[in-house]
Amino acid sequence: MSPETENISETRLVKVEGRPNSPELPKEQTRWERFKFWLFPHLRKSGELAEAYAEAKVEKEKSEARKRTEEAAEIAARKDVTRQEEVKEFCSIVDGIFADDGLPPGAKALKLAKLMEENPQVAAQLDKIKDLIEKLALNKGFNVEVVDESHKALGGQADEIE
Amino acid sequence: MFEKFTDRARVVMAGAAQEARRFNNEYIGTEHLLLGLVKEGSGTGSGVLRKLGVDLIKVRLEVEKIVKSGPDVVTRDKLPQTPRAKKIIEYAIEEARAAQQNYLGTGHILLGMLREKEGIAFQVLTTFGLKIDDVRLEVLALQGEEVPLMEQDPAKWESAVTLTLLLDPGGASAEEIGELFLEISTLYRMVGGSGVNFTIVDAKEPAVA
Repeated sequence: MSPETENISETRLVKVEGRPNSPELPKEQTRWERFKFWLFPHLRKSGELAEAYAEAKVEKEKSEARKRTEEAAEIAARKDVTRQEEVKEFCSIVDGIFADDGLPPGAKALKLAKLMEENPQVAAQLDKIKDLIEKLALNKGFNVEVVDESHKALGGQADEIE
Repeated sequence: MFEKFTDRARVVMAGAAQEARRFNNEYIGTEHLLLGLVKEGSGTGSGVLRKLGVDLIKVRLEVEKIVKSGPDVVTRDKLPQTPRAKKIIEYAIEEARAAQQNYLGTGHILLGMLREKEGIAFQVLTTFGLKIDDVRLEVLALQGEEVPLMEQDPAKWESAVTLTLLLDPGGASAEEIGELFLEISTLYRMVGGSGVNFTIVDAKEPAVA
């Protein structure tokens, strides 16, 4: 952590969009939808940031918070390339599921969902994210929430189906 | 709840109501749902029946043998569903959930019919030798062949493809926030995705209270 950013107290709201790296790939669609679907409950918070954002003034100049978040996105993108190699083996399990021609497509999707829910490595990765958010919230006053409602365009979340 | 139904599932529901009226029945029962499904004819539900060698015309005839016509023309606008018909929809929702699908389609309704064992729909379907496990597998297989959303509706896909987050970075450094982005991207890669690229849309200053 750089000394200049250690004690930043200003509050700024930064809107960030995450998109899959290869949205054009057909296989990406199912995986991304399921991923978002599954991740949302873990990131959803009280809605206080969304409320503050709706009432906030538009910033005239590039804020420090924005610059910091942009830098964060760059750091993540850079490291993501190396990380790709680390999870390669894991990805091969998923690709194996999708390459199994004897399995109906729906059954593949079920298998993937099961993997996401039950695999200890995936669960550990999710816990890592949750811990990171908690730690940053506690020590740095960081806050994050999902404001994306576009999943509803797909027919709503499964837990809202009733 | 109806908003989660696919267009074809809605057609099945509307068809069931029409069938109930045709028989002067003041309710929508499991038999009407089955007739609605057969009448719709192009969804996963009817597709699976065909794939498993079931003749849809024979299904219709079997149901019609059992259904009793009411004495008077039904005039009420909305027909209530019988408890068994409701149960079929409940089971259909369970099937959608179990398959992690965020919509309710005709395939789920068919599965619901095979789970509600007291209904006429079940009675008719089992005369064709259908087994729920076979049907479930075929439903999943056919659903998997559905046209991807990005081809079906690129605008909807464009909106669905974005995960929007609001951040208050507080005192977190770029490295720390970057680590969070990276871990989210890694998680996506672990489930077979291509990683996540984050971009900043805008930044705002909260209004002073």
